[in-house]
Amino acid sequence: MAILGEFKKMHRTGVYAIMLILCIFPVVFQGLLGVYSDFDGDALFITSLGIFCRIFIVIAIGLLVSFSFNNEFKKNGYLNSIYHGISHKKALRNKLFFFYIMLIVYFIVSLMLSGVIITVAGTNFFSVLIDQIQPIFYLNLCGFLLINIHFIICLMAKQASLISLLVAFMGAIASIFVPATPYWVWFPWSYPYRVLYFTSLEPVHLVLFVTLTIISFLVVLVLIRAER
Amino acid sequence: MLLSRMKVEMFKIGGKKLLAITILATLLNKGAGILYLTINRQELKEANHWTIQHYLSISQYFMILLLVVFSAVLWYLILSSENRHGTWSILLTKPIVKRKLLFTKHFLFLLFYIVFVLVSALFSLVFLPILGIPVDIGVWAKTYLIFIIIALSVPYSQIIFHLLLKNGIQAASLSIVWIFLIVIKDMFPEMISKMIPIYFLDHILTSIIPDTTTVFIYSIVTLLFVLVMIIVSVRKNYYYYD
Repeated sequence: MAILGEFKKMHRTGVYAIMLILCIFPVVFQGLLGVYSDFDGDALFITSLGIFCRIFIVIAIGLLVSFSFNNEFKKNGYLNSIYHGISHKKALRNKLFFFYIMLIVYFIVSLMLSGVIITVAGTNFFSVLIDQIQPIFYLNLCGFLLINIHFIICLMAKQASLISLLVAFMGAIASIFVPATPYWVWFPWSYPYRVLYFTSLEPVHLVLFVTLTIISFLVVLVLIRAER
Repeated sequence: MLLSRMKVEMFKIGGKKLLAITILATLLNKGAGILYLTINRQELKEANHWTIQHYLSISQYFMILLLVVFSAVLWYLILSSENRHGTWSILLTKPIVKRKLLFTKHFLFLLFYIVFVLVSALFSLVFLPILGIPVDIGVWAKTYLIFIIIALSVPYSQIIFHLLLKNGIQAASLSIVWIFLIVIKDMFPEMISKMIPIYFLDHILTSIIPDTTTVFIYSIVTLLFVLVMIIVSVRKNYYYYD
């Protein structure tokens, strides 16, 4: 119920529409390019989600987290939660889980879009989905990691939630260049893109993704606990 | 008069904050450029691309990308923050003329835009000898002069989102559309890409030493585009009686 409340807080602000644009625009564009180049199956799956995972997902996460925090300060949401007997920590925890759920929904939407393109190209989408189940799982995990990072930034930056969006921008721009270099391991914003090319990953990379996500999640929980 | 109004605008936003953002953007831009050059040093030398023209071309490519973000932040602070604070309605009172206020905002933006380009240009001049590239002041000055005029198309493309959307964060986040367009530039037919303002500078950069007529035409078109955007921003109705 509280998570539904989080959803409603940003309802009719235009942020969901922008997130949808950030999803439809790259997936359809890249997908059609893939169909035009006679790609199908797994290759089309990777092509259609390529630029989305490289640039747009980073911005979408940055926008969602920054906007949500900005909205709270702008509309005195924290004050209202105190008036209604909801602790600040609980509000932040709800916010975090709302981001996770939103990200899963967001990925499902992008997968559906990609699925439509794959089906149009004449491949069975479910067989592709089963083939790509591991990358999809790790894609979500890396998304959670990015949410955690941006959440930490917003918690530290307090009212200056634009910083989180700026970091997302820097991450997106750097993601144009970094994933092709050996330094991508040090750069979490390039993980979603690298996960798409799952066969190029070593087991140690997967361990790294899981470890970083867990550590960042714990850091978020500690920071929430430290909030007054 | 204009100076005093700009001072007031700077006071509203925070002059030090604006300067810090400008310097940070410059440092990031230069850092990215230098990092790219250092990593690809060998390949560039082998391809005979270790020259001032190529250095400036690469450096300015990063500058365009950074300029998208830099202008998004600056427009957020200069223009969209009025939406955030709900202060556009002040324009309905007599003492402040909307046209003057908007012109002041544009001049303030241009001031920090010039600082951004000049500091970047100075950094380039410092880094060229460090990287072991022979310095040619003529080429350096000419390239940045072209940049300072034609790159205006980038922030004035970005302002479209800040005029369309009331929320500055949403408008800033949409600048990813420009970055996306810059990345996929080669997919457009040249005829179409030549007409999109965000590509103006890229067309000049890819030709390394462009001819004077092309530079002149792009400069005129850019200035016209900027003028149109300024007029649109002044004519826009920001305030409502609900």
